[in-house]
Amino acid sequence: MVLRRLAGVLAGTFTGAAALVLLLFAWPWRARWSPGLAAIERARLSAWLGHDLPVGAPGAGYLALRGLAGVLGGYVALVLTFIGLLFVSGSLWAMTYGRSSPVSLNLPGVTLTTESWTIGLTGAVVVLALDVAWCLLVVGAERRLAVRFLGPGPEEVMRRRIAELTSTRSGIVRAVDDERRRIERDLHDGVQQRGVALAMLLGRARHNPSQAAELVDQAYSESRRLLDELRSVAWRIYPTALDDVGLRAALEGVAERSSVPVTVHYGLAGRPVSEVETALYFVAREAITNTVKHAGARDILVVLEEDEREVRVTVSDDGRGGADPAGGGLSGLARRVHALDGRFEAGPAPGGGTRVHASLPKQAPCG
Amino acid sequence: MRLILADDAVLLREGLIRLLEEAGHQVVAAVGDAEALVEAVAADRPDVAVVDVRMPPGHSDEGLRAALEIRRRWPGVGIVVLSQYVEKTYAAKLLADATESVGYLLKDRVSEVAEFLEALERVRAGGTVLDPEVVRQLLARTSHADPLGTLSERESEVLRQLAQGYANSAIAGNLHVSLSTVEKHVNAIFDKLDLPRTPVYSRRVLAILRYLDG
Repeated sequence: MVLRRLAGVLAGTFTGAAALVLLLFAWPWRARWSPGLAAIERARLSAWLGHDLPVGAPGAGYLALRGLAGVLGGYVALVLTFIGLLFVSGSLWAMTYGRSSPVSLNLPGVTLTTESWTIGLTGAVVVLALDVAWCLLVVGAERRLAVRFLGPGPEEVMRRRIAELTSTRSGIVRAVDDERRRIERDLHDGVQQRGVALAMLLGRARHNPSQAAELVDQAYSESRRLLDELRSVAWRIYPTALDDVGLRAALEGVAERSSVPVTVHYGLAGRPVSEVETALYFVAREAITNTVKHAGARDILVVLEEDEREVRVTVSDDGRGGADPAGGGLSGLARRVHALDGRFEAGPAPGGGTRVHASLPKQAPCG
Repeated sequence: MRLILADDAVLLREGLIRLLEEAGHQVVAAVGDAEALVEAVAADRPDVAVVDVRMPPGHSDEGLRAALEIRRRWPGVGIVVLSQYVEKTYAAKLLADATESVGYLLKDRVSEVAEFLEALERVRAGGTVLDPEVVRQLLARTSHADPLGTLSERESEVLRQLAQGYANSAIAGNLHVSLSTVEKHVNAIFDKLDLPRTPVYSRRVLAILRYLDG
């Protein structure tokens, strides 16, 4: 890494020098050469300094400052590298051919006698360390310059934020519609069918008085099942436990109901704000439901953790993987998470199986 | 009569089989999706096929499309479409070409066992059965509100019965009036709505539905 940075800084000398020369002598034709130079700069920053620049045309101010910084930085780095290598080769030479001579060092109060190659190597270490520090300094300065001059201005930042808000806003509307479709499906497939079945049993009882007692018995059991179904649909729509007793208990409830064993590592100190808590809950629950339905997994692990800025939930399993991030449930969750300025990933886990991860900022950034 | 059932909810299918067999009918096949329905009808022409609108794989209107296909390929097979919701356009599609041997009912009607069985009989006999809810929606949404307003209460009642596909004699029985009274009301309705008087009663349903749908 250090060598890459060094190469980047050294290459910066040449691009910097080129920029200065062009600025001085080819000023009237700058419109023709500055885009090319900017492209080279961009490639250099990205390849050697690990800094991807946003798209933006550099002005003469940036080229001049960066040229000066590049020439100075590259020159000093080159000199330090040269001296360092000189020290190294000198002491290696002394060691190999035994031309080393004792040197006495007179420091205040201490007198040291040592071999010259030791001093040479010490010097090399010091100079090369300085070299590394200098390179890092130059890299930092280049970054700041690039961000200052090439990065998005306040207007651009605002424009991007608006684009992002527009897209996540329509995303959340779609997520709401998807939710409603699912609720309708749940009601249609479960509750309504049981309701019709119940009505049919009672209808048959009325139509065939001779079998009435038996049919009413069946209708009674059917009505119990209808109520169970209704309760579970209501719980799937929104578990009130989430509001009453919090995320931890609600997730433990999900774990208890799952047919695949679920381990929950709850690493959150307090309770996140309500919308974040709800999003974490639904991400975890949907991932668990998907795994139970499709993955053929034996184990599911849910990890909740936080730092000062964000909370994260990761659900991983040991199943056969192949979760489709574009699938209905997952894409709805992704929209929900994006609307809260979070990040969402679903894909294969490193050791096989599937991993679903969401991270959400603790507080939504404003503006 | 010989029936084929198509519904993806096992619970309902089983319940319907019991209900129909208790009534002395024979269920020759009970299937869970539209493709299997068409195959079953092709293999064993039933008197009537009872079809749920919404079936796999898409869970939208696969059942209805299968019903239309069956009507086109085997006009002799009666069709009763069951639906969780009343959708006027579904009824319009079913009745678009002909009103013989077709029914469109809310799923809940199966609990009114006697009426449901009677509806099946009417469809087998070549009649039209429309859910009262469809008729109510047609009457509520029609753009011909004014002429409808000129109908007397009794005539409105007869119109509802007409739109459901009942023959004059059945209407007389349902409303507890004489056949000649019904005929009188029917003529009055056709005159007030400016519909051509036709003696063929299935065309009569079509005329009324087209009028209400307009």
